[in-house]
Amino acid sequence: MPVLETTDLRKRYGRIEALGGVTLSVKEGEIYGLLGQNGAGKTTLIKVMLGITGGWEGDAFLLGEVAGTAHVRSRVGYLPEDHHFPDYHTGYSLLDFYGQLLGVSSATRAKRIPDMLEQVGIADRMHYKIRTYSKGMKQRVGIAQALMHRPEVIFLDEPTDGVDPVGRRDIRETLLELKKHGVTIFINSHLLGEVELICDRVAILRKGKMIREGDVATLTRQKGRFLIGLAPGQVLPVAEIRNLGYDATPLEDRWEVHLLDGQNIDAVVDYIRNKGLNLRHLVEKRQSLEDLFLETHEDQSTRRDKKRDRRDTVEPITAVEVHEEDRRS
Amino acid sequence: MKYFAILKDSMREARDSWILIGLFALSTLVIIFVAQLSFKPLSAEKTMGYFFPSDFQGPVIFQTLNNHKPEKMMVMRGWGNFRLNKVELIRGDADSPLSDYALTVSASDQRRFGFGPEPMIAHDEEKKGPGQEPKRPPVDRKAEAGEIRKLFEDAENLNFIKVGGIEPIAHGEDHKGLREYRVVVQGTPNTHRIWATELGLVFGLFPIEFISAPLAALMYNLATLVIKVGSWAAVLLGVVITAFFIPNMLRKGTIDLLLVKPISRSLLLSYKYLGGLTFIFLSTAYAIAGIWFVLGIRSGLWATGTLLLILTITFFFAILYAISTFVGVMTRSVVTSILLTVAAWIAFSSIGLTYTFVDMIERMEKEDDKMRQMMGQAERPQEKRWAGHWVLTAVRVIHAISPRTEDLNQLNDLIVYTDFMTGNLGDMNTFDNSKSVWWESLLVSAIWIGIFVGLASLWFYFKDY
Ligand SMILES: Nc1ncnc2c1ncn2[C@@H]1O[C@H](COP(=O)(O)OP(=O)(O)OP(=O)(O)O)[C@@H](O)[C@H]1O
Ligand SMILES: [Mg+2]
Repeated sequence: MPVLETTDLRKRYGRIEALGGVTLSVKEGEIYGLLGQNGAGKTTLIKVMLGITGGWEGDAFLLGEVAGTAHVRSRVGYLPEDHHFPDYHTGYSLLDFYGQLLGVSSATRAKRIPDMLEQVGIADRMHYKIRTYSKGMKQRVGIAQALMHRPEVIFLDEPTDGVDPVGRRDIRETLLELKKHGVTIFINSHLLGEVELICDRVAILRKGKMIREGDVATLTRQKGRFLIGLAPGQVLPVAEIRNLGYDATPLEDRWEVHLLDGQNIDAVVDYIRNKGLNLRHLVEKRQSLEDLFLETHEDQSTRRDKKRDRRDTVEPITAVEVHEEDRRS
Repeated sequence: MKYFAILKDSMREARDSWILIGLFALSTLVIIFVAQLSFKPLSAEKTMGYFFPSDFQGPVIFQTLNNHKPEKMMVMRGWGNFRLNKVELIRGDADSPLSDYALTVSASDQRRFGFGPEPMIAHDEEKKGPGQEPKRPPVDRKAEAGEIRKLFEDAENLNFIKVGGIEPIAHGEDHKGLREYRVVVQGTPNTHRIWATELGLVFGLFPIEFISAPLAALMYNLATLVIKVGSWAAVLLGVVITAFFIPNMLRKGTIDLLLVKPISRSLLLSYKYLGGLTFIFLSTAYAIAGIWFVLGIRSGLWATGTLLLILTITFFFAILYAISTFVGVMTRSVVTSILLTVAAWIAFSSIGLTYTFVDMIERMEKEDDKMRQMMGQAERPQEKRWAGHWVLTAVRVIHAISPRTEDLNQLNDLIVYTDFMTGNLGDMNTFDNSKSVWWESLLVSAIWIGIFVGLASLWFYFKDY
């Protein structure tokens, strides 16, 4: 059973249609990224799921209950965007307060809160008023409060907003660690590089409608484009390969082969072997999520601006490989 | 559990704003002020003098025991013409409220007027010619003794004193015209409450000689002054402090974090409301109990019933806080909450005061009718009557259906008064003959609290954040 599921979810704020029929489903233990421009409806979707906003149509279920049901919320963690913690609290007392509301026992709170704040790296400041915290420190408190009651599902709206690179890496690691324990994580983010690093699946919202959804690997794969690298000093005979009917282009030190329908890269590989050349790299070329995002954006817009050129930008192949490894780890 | 969490959170918020500290500092100052007052018992002569009219006014005891009965005070009365000449101790310690005393009271034919138990018309004035003694029938001394007894009537009914007997004193020829009576009074366990007492500052270092009164009256006036001003200031401060609670909670980015907790919105708002109320309850409890305690220590009069004021003041505040909550939920603005709450407070008080005024006009009219009847005058013509006038009806209807903050003020006053007077709140009806039905006032006000909090909850429940 999916942890989160919506079917044709619609939400209007007066004349603004924030969600115009969104259907998605998130499985247990998945890290799900929701992308989209400002005002696309990402935050609205989370608010509907958590019952912060009502008056929606369609179906929405969270942990098997209709979205917004109060008692389910003790199993859910949430970090809102633009959060404002009551600044008369200290980091510690805030978590204590929220913990009480979440029904965490006082013994557990006393033990877990310092651990949690240690984990997000503000243990040394936990007894200072929140108003003395920097932006990133508040964000870290935010992460801690979303996780403190060991929720089964976590909604993070721009979780790394304002956090330094080290902190961002720590947060990523924390999230991957949680995923290992079967926690389902739902992230809204504009930092596509980061989403790409940790999300299993992403969806792209545009004006309240879902325009793409799928697992990151599939979405970013560019079907039929391969990069070939040979041993140093060797050169791929581009003209000959073209003669075979394949579309080959030399790049800096590699070659890109574009397969047409019905063609198979194996034929090219065989040809290289037969020629006595040594194949060192063979990778299906991938788009970065950012490219995909911009592409989907432009596909739908009538504007044709210069960003369009970036569609063909090639991500350095090594980077893609790193991503591949990272995801497997 | 969750309620305590929210209460603690509100406390923390209040503490953060310094106003809370201001509130406690204010209370503490008041308590310290009261603690340094001293109450020095005066002589038996002074105390017994309170039962007799002076040249300027009616007997102090009469005024003390009837000052919540406006129509009794309003009518002009004659006091007879009695003077306290001598007070002798006949049993017990000197100047002790528990002792028995013999009073020598003289009556003369000279007349004095004032406010008192008998309507003035009882002694109709005869025209005196120059140098002529008015012709009077011989005095019935038994009847005169009865009149003296009337001076003690109110106090005796409330067991403040016991009159053992009133005997005419026989005099020889040379005392022609002088009629004297011997009145035996016996102290009761309540007599100390009406004992003449002098107020002093700084633990009696600076006695204020012109401020002396029956102990209970002195304490009542003091306590009402302190409690009226104090509670007024405390409620105002409370309105200001608590006006921050709801808008701060509803701030964008703050409310989301509360709404995702496993607690329903109506409960969240109700807890927040109760949290604010508890906060006021605690500060009121501190102030009232503090004042009660130091007054008890300083005077020996433990007016335990005044502790009830903790509840009535909190209830008073509950009305205002309900409005503040309602406005806060609707507008999320602190300033608007404060302004509208104070405006509502002024409006309710005005309605209450207007009603009190209207009530007084009607009573006076009734007394006037009685008076006209007694004096055989014609009845007041209908068009000159206020009773039944539509304006009065309108005021009465508006008062009946609006929150009764003024009634609560009067209730507080009556509680303090009764409690210092007799120490038994069951005597409240003895002192009060206002038409207010207290449970009705409380009920109407409670319904308004329900309406405001209910509307706020409803709005909060359906609102998108
Ligand atoms: N409380 C509200 N009242 C009216 N309109 C709203 C409200 N909240 C959101 N909207 C509108 O709904 C649409 C979707 O907003 P939403 O906050 O979901 O966007 P988002 O994708 O989270 O954007 P961002 O990336 O800027 O956070 C926007 O057009 C926004 O103006
Ligand atoms: Mg958003």
